[in-house]
Amino acid sequence: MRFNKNLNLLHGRIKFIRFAIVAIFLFTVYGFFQIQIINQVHYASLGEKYRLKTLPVKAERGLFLSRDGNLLVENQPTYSVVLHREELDRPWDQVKGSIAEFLNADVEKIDQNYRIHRGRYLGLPIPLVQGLRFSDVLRVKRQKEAFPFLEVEVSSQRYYRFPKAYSHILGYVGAVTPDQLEENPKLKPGTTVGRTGLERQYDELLLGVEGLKTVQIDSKGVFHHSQITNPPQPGAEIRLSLAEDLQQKAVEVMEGQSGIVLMQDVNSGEILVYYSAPTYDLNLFTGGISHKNWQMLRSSPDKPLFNRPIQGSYAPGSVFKLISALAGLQSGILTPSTRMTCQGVVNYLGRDFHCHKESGHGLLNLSDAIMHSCNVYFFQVAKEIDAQELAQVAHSLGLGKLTHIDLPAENAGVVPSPTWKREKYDKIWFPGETLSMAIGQGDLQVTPIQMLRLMALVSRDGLAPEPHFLKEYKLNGKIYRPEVQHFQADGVSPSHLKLMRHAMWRTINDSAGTGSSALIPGFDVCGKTGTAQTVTFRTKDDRKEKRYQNAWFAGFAPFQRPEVAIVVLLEHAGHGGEAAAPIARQILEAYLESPVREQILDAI
Amino acid sequence: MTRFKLLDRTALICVIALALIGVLLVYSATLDQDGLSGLWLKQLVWISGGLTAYLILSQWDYHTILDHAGLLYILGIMGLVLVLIFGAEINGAKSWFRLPFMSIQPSEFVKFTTILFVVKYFSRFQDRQSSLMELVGSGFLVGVPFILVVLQPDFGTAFLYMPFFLVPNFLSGNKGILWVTGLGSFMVVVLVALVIFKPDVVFILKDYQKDRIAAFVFPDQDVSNRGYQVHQAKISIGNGGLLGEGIGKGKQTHFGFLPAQHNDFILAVAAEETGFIGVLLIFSLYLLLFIRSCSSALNACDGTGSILVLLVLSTLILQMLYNAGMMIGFVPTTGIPCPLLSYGGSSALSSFAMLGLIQSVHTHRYVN
Repeated sequence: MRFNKNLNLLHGRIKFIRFAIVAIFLFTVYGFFQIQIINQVHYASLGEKYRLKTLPVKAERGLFLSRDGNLLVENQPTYSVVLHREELDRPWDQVKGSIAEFLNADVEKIDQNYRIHRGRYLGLPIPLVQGLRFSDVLRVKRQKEAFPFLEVEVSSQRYYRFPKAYSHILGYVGAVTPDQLEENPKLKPGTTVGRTGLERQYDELLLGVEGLKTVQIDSKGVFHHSQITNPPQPGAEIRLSLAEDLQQKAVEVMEGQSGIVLMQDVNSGEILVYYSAPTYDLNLFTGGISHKNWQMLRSSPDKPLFNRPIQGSYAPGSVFKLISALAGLQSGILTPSTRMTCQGVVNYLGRDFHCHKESGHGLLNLSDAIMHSCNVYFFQVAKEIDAQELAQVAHSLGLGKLTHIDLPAENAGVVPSPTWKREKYDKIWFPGETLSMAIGQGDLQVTPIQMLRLMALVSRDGLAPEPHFLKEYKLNGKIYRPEVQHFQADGVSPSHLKLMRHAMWRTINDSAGTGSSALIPGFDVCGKTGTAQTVTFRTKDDRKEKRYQNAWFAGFAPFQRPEVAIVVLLEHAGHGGEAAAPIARQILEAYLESPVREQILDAI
Repeated sequence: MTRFKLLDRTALICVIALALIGVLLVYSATLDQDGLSGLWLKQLVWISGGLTAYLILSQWDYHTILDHAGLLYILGIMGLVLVLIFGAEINGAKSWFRLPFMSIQPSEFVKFTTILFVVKYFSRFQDRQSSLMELVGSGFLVGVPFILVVLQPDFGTAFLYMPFFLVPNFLSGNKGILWVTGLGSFMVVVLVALVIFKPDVVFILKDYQKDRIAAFVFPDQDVSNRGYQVHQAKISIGNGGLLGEGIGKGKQTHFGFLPAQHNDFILAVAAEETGFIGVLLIFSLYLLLFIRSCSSALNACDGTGSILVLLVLSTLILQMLYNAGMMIGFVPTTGIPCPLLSYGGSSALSSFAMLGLIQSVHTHRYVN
């Protein structure tokens, strides 16, 4: 009986335990239910926060194409060695020495790269060395076991297909500077941006828009696979107006010289040739230029980095006589038939002013004076003309004014005048200065690109599109053609310009003209030569020293229905007619044979 | 005469099903962990061994086994002493003998030997209830291995010895014993509350032990240390949702956010990869096993059998529930694997052996 009673008691307590445990079971299941079903979204999103990181994807930098759609620049794969930090088996300070030795790199440089990037996610590789040679790539890959934490990675880098021909146009790129970062919040550290040239001018178009990728990161921060959630938008494909064959011709003819060659389609303002000599190798800059090369380029006496067509200010020399003539006509001092006699020298206020022909040109009308480039004729105009008015005409034809060509850092040049001199130096204007100015000397400074615009204005009765490189660009599959600005030469009479064109035709096509070496039979080249002295002549021999003279040729062609304007400037090369005009002829001859001419004729 | 016909087949199926689910989860949890990918095969070997032990023990009359309980108990105690001297230190605890081909955790086997000896001790109370003196006696019996395990130190396993003391005294004790155990449990609750709200007052626990207790109360805020594991386990469970991400596809599991995923946190792997449906299946199997075993206890031919079943059940089910509670932040995190599911040779063998004892009680339910 006691036995049974005890057993009953035992069974009762067993049932109690069973009840309690079942209750705890249900309670625990409810706990799972709460997390897994009721608060599922909360916990799942918490997990994503730990696992998924959103990182930017670089956009491919936009490209430049020539007029005919050929690539002028490419984005080339470049090899860099990256470090996978999570795989390092020793502290960085212990391995950096042997890594540097293995990669033939500077310890300090790779250490610096390491320190810049180590703040990033553990799983993101750190670039140690960029722009690796292919033989080194193979070596690193072969010796993977020795340095398992190193890997070769491919990224993209600028490669200029014609590294020297387009240097001053395209310009070079570099890593964004802290100042630029502050200026433009859209830029990110490490982005490649244009530093000079069109690379800089159209940087915004070229940059594209960064995309986003989602990266899976595990508990140790190790980067697993990534998925592009928002594809990057590549930068624009920019088609330039440059004619490859003509540009190449300019490179050839300018070999060994310093100076510029510019050619423009006068009807559209499109620049066909833009060459500044001496040039430099753009590919030196990709991946960062070495200190040695940079110093070499900067300290070179013939200034290869100097973008002469837009930054160089030169005395225009006799080319300016066109302005003096126009100013004379406009003020009524001159008429087309005004005749004057040149005896080789003219005395003004006790000072002798010489013509380049010592014996004198004799009796000349305005057209003859331009054709012979007679100084004395224009000295006599200058004696009577108001310097302010002369400056005014120069201004209205765009001298001393920016052309707003699509390149950064354009120089405006200087057109002096009594007002300008008073404001700038607080000095009075001497009458003799007007004489110097009338033949394009003195304080007068123009840029070659302004001279190009001047030629376009003369050829087109005073209204011409501004010079520019951008033909069209393609962004996201759509083609854009920006509107071209025009320049109007205010107050300059078309009939006077017509007179100039005629004189310029004679300058080339008359055997006595100064520009006769630019003559091309069957193609009525019009032009004006200039020989600008760069120092004050002390002796008669100085006058013959080529190195003291810059040779100009500015013109357009043909006489009827002009197609192109051309400007050639050779530094320290002597007479414009002897040095610059033949080069202009070669370029124009190339133009005549070029398929570009057909395009231009079609467009008219 | 074989007693296979008398086996509780439902319980047997539950045990095998759980063990195989365990192998599958171990396979998935170690899928992309270097050097661990063969672990599921090893686990398969362990459970085969365990199943053999299970079936042998089920045929053996537990009364005969109990005759050797004293010897087994002494061997177990010796094992615990030896592991304190010669054991390998892993994670700061000397719990393992590291042998060339396997590692042995004596504290797991001591569960088995202690159960037998305690049951033998309580077999005298067939026709009367135990008194306070015997409470002290049983306390001593359980206390010796308990303290040896605490010395390792392995609080998790030691904690699982507590039912060996509490359950038999509750089952066969008189009113006095019930009062004493009730009061004791109350004091434990007060101690935990003090640790959480006034940790400075409690001087008998070390700081990290207090931290562990505190971290489980607010695991989502404190994601830095102990709470981090629970936090990540909860994320895994939440990530699973109703249907789960699929075996081998759990993001938490495979990106290494889930700690100790092939042993202590295997339930979280199950939750992430098989969803709430999978969790329900696992819980149902355990519950079924539990209910069936309770029936074995109620149908046992004597009180000894009932107590034996309840002792085994209490330690295994407590272990399972504690482990599950750990996942969802109900109880503090400590190194307690989930019986039958988690990877571990010693744990699998001892769990199977103990469940074999239940089958022994079941097959010997008729007095012949």
